[in-house]
Amino acid sequence: MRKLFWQMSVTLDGFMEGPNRELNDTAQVVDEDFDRYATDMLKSIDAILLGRVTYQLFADYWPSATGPDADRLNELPKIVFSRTLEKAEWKNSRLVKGNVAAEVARLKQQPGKDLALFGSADLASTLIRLGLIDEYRILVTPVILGGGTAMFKDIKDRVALNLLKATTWSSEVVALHYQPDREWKVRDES
Amino acid sequence: MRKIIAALQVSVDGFIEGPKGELDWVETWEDSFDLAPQIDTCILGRGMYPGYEQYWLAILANPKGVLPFTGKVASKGEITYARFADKTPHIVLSRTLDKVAWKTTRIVRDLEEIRKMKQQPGKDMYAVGGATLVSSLMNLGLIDELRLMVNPLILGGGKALFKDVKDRHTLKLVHAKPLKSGKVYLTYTTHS
Repeated sequence: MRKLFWQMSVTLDGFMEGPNRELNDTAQVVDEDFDRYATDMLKSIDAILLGRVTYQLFADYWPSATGPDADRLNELPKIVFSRTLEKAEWKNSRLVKGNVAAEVARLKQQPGKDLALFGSADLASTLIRLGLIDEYRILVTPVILGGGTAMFKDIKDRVALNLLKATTWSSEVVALHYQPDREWKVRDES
Repeated sequence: MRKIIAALQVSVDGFIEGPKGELDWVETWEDSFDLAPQIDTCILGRGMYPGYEQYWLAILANPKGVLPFTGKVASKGEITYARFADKTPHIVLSRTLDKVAWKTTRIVRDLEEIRKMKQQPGKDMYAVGGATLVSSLMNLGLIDELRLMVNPLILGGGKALFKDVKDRHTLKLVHAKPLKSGKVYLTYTTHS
């Protein structure tokens, strides 16, 4: 089965945006390290999952952006999960209003490359609780913000993780890659 | 001027304790940051101090005994730290505390006293915790270096390390070192 990874930019104190939803402290500095990561990452996936808020941010920005990464993002199928959104007009978008668990499980069982979830903290927290996230990619910016929207919301239970790798970019971002330690979960419940 | 270094164990989601004060996810309380050679003072807040004192005094009293909080026996590194702490001056910041059991500890009433101590000659000072102390020191620009041992788990709630930090701080990453245990050792300096 292919994996679903969640990629999120976050400050050292765990905020994905500031108190007024500002993104300047979590926006990635686009340097060589980030470019290399992003290009490889975009080649490794064949669909993107998004919640409503992140979808709208992306749909406002990417259609008019240029360059190979923008082209790839615009071409890739996007699946947006929202009960309230009326339509999803960004190229190759599909709106899912219903059962998140069933839809994501179905997507993961289809053959293909990996699936990416970008930002979308609310959707991510639902998927974490459902045990559907297979990898976490947390891009930690060197800032303490002192307030904002937390990356991890409404996670009721512990999630034990295994570190896959930690890399440092020239922007002083630390990219932390983890996968859930499912064995730990079994031990914990027994 | 000497530095104040805050060094703490945190979860991936930035908590230093679970929702009910759980600390079982911290594998060891030894000096994982290798700070002992460069410091001559430990600083603690009122909330953390009693448990800290109880834990290390228990190890000193009986290095092979079962410990409070963890229910485990002290590791070699923990016994080393207990002995180090037993001869290193500690200060606990509190307006209300009136006595402590450990001979090395002195009660300090306000942060200005810590600022003055920092200006005196000496080795670096280690801010051990907890979250309120670290946030107060951050707010006054008194922390020079931040070392975090990021433990591989999401706690989902609890006490956030930077919960009371008021302003935005830009940090400088010194290094990020993945360890075999799955922890990541992050070191930052502040621009205060």
